Amino acid sequence: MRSSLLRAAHAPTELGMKIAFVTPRYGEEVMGGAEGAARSLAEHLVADLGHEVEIYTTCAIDHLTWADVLSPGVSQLHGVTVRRFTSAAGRDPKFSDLDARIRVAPSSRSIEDSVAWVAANGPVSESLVEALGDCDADVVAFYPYLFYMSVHGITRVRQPAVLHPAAHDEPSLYLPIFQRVFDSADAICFHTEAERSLVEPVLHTAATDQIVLGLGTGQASGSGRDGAAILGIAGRPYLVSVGRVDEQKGSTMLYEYFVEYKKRHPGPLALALVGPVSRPLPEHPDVVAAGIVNEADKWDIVAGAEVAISPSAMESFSLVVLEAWVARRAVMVNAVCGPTMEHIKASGGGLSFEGYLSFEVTLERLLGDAALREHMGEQGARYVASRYDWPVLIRRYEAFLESVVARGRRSEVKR
Amino acid sequence: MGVDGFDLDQVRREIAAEVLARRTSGSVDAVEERRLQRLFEQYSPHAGGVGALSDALRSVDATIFIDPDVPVASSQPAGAAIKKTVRKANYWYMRWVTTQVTKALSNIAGVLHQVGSELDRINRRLDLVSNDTPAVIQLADADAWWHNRASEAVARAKGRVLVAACGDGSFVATLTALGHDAYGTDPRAEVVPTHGDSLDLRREGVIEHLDAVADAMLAGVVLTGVTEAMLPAQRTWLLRALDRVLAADGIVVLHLLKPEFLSGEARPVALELAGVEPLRPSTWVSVLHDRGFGVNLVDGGPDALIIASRGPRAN
Repeated sequence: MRSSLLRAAHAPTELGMKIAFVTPRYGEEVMGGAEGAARSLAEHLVADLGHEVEIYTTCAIDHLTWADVLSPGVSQLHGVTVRRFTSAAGRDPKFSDLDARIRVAPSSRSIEDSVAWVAANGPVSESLVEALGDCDADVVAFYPYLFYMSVHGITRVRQPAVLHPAAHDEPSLYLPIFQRVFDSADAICFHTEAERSLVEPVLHTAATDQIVLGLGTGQASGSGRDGAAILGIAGRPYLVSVGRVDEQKGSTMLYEYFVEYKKRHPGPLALALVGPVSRPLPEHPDVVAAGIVNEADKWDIVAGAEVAISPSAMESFSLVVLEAWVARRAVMVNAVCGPTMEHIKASGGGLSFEGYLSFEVTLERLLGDAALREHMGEQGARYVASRYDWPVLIRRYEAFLESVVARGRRSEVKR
Repeated sequence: MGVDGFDLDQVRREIAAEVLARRTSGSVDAVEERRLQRLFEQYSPHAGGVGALSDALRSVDATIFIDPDVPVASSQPAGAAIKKTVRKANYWYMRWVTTQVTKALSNIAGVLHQVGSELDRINRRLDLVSNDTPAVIQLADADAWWHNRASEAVARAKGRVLVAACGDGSFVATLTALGHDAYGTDPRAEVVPTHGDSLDLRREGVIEHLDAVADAMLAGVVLTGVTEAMLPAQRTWLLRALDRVLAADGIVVLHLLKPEFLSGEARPVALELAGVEPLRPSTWVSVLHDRGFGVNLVDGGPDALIIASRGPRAN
């Protein structure tokens, strides 16, 4: 693919591309989200197709502080070269106030306000952005759109730039600075049709080269242990919600809904929350906050659940919904979340709720009908196998990147 | 009925009916349900710029009630007790103030709902006269005569070329093979390949698509079978959109059936349903000429090709 002398200088593969990903945090400590998606794509490009991949990222793990906790410099992770840069600033303590202000009519904010918001959101790593100017990859992928390195880096690179927005319907999407970011992308890779439909009319991206890709799912890799036993609630039926335990991800709502449900439906049913805890929830005898668990335990816990629930309204893809279907579990999703609704409509693998009463009635229906749950789990598994099998998906991504490289960098800012 | 005997639409209908029945019967205390609904609304998308009005109104509804019960939790020893005492002493006042504010906000929200309803009514009426996605009329097979002429015209375009309606993408593939940066749209989901590999094909109508294209982003636009079923307002909209999205020396290739070949039994069902009369090629020539295009008309018998150029290359 590469014809320049740079290929000879690196030459880890004979015919492969060199792809750079730019993402605010990266590593095994980072669970799910856009950064986890970037890692999955990077590792599959290396392992399955033999391309060379390097990551430009910070030393942060915590998305709330962006504090530097990992060492700067170059390291290797599963065949991927990771270049870490320190940050001059993490999350600004005044960010919440600034964020609250821009929530009112964000599209009418000035570029200066937008730039200030991006900087306050953090992490601010000018050294990372500077380094992108010397990047010798064939193509640079920015993942997601929202952070300093995407905003300032996408105009800095000389190579074709692919933007993975991972956008939700959030006020920041309408900040004027992001029009420049999307204008500077040579191509866009969306997670779902819902994400594309959201972004297109807001940022006028229709003529930009694009693909709706999604993410691949792995095989269920549990060890066959009893999920309830792993959670310390052996013998009890339980619901599971995998993902960051965070108010913005709907965890507080799910907790409150479940507690109300249990008041009205006493019994052994429990709720397991699996994932890093950003905001601790009150202790409750029927709620288990398992925190971060290893992959095998995660799959065993999901496989043992009666129903998997995705309470978040702010998803751009939701790998955890697909993983629940790999484990043949029925799912319940938030009815105002476009991407997860797209998944359940296309698959028939689950139901949705849009308030407490519909949560209660839907859950009663699923828990009371094992055949329906089994049917939905099977439908979901078929959907995942047909669309998000890694070998197929990573080839599509490769073909897309090749076409982007072939077309070359159009301009730094198109208009 | 779905496979395995499950009709999921029926399941959803039954759930919706049960929710309604429980709400009507007061199964959950109204105040408690409102509190729980507020939790749902709190992080629901409400679209900062162009979202649905109903979503924004839901957010307004969720925040209207001002709670006079000030939280008293405290991390300091005796803090909660002190706060509780202060709350008790001021409760009559807080309640009076919050009631006034809640009433005022409720009235404002009521007006917003009326405005929203009126907009819905107007939009429904507009839908009657302007369907967003006019039907595509299937004009010719993949190896049609006009492909070569259109390819030659597009060869002058320096930049991205849109093909609408692209069908299975064969003409997009032709242009791509010739080295053009081409992509396609078509609202007919059944004819556009899903997850096409190297071709960029979208399942959407030309109006919806051009609405989301930035200014001057396209070097060429090929339109085939998309103008015949357009209402007059949609044709006007299309011409304005072309003015906006085409680069300074942009090219429009318009492939269309002549109206005289669309009469009697030959008249496509979609055209019959749309209730419109397609323009004659000579009329399109006149319209495009009036908008500053240099125009060539190529007669192909039942169909015709119009090649319109802007800027210094116009002929």
